[in-house]
Amino acid sequence: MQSNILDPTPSRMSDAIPTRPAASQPSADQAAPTRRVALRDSAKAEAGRYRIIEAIRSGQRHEPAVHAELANLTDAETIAKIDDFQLWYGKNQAIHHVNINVARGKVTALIGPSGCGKSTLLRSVNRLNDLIDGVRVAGSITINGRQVFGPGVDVINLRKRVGMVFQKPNPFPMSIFDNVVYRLRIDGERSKSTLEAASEKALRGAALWEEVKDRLKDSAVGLSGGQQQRLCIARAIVADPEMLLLDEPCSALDPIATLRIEELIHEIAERYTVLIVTHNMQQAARVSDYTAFMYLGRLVEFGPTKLIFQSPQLPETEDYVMGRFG
Amino acid sequence: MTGSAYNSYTRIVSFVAAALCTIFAFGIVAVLCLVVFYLFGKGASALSWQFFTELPGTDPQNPKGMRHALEGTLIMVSLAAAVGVPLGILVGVYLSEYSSEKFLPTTVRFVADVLAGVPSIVVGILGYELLVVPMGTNSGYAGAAALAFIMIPIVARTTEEMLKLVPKSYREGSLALGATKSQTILKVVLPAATGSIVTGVLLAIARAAGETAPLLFTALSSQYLTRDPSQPFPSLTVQIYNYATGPFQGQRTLAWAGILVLISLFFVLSLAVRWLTRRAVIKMV
Ligand SMILES: Nc1ncnc2c1ncn2[C@@H]1O[C@H](COP(=O)(O)OP(=O)(O)OP(=O)(O)O)[C@@H](O)[C@H]1O
Ligand SMILES: [Mg+2]
Repeated sequence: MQSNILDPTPSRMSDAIPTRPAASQPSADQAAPTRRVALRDSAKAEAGRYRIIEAIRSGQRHEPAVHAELANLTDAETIAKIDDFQLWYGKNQAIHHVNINVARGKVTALIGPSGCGKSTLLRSVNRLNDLIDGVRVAGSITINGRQVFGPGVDVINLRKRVGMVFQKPNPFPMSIFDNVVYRLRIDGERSKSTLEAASEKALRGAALWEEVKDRLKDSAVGLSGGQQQRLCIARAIVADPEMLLLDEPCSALDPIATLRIEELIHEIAERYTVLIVTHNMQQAARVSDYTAFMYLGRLVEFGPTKLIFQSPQLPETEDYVMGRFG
Repeated sequence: MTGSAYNSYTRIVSFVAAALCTIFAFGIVAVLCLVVFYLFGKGASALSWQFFTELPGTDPQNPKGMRHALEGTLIMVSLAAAVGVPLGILVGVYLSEYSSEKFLPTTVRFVADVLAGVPSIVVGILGYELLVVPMGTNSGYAGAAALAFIMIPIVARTTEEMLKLVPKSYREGSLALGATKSQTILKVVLPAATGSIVTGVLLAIARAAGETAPLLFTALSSQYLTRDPSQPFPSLTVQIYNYATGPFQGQRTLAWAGILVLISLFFVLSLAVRWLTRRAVIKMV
């Protein structure tokens, strides 16, 4: 496996997209009997090209390519610092020495092949991984200078400061209103006028107010998928969190609903810094200011989205965002 | 040729199978109808307002009503539910939500299953030994305790199963908003499962209301309208038992009326359970 730089998957992909054959992959779309040989050939050809991926696969430490703009963020410009972070599920290490600075008021996207640890990293920021038995971490994450891990950290308080929206919309089986103000009620807020004002503000913030203002008492489960997801965003921003974590928030939605959420992400990012996981390259390109490319639990390249998609420093990043790899 | 022979063979087999199933299904319904009609025939004539409003009265040959027994059952089942339902729900919540370690929950679950299957007369004898003997008298409290003992495992196990059906995404969503585990359980998980838990509670109540053996040893019975559960206490089932096995025709007729009332109670509870289950399932999806 290690000598093969390309899985069978990318070769299938380049079969499927014959209009974009990779120059360095001369025989990947040849007939089946010769494929093994062809792959091995291309592996040799790629050996020089995918230096970082090669190092990651053979288990060596590597230097990720972090663009100067992000390496030089000042503390004031950084809301969250992921510093030499590692995470294990039991014996399996899922995150290796990851460093990511999340820029304040911007959208940072995490991309990478399935299983590379994007969700794991995201769920480390609000310590939702604590729910899983046998999770261990090393290194540190800070949000606005405050530690996320470590003794004496109030996890409940941390989660109150960091909103999260999941892949599948998960409104609670209660009314729209009760969903939005849930976060306030667990803090003991009872005043009806306060709750009403807050829910209107949050629903407006999530671009849902006009659609639901006449049926706040209706069950949230009756909303469309896209509306449910915007409700989940409203629920997450109702108490002005310091940042928002979005884990593939559109992957269960149709294109129109996706578009609305993407617009929304743009609107709210300035106020609530967004860290978003996405599988969809176009989406990452459309919504994010910065993009981090991860592979097998490591950071590969991290830079301004424009550069990542147009002139990345690493050939592996270029091939990945073009869909030629992974 | 062989193909069509084979075809007609399978067709005959499946026709016979379907026919047998239908016949037996009708058979079951027919038996049930027979029972209900029989009960109705026997009980309806004896059922009058008197049954609900009058006490047996002084003439043992012709008891007038079972008001005391109805009230007795109501009081004892209420007492039992007041203790058994919260306890059962707590155990169910523990089993479903707090059982991260292995040994204790497995044991509790096993014990609950065994208890749910214990013949009810055993519960009666236990109640007699542990409550009646030390207290020196049969009492409504002992009866209620025995009924609670029967209800707890039922409520606990249904609660556990229903809570496990609540999607994990609700719990994650709530915790991600900064709710504590207990807030999550109280505000999201339990409400999401309320309909199904109420179903379990109703089933447990129906079961308790229909028990005779545990009450024979604990509450015994009484011919009087009493609201003092520290004394021997009347109940519908024991009253039916006493009258049905009694020497007088008047008593036996009244027992039939009691049975009819009991069956109607089950009928109503089953309808409520069905209705609630349908609503609960809609809510879960
Ligand atoms: N609860 C868990 N227990 C054990 N291993 C896990 C658990 N969750 C994830 N992993 C492992 O951690 C690695 C990273 O998983 P993660 O879900 O973070 O990937 P991902 O990048 O979000 O993938 P996807 O794009 O498919 O969502 C995978 O190898 C996965 O098998
Ligand atoms: Mg994921």
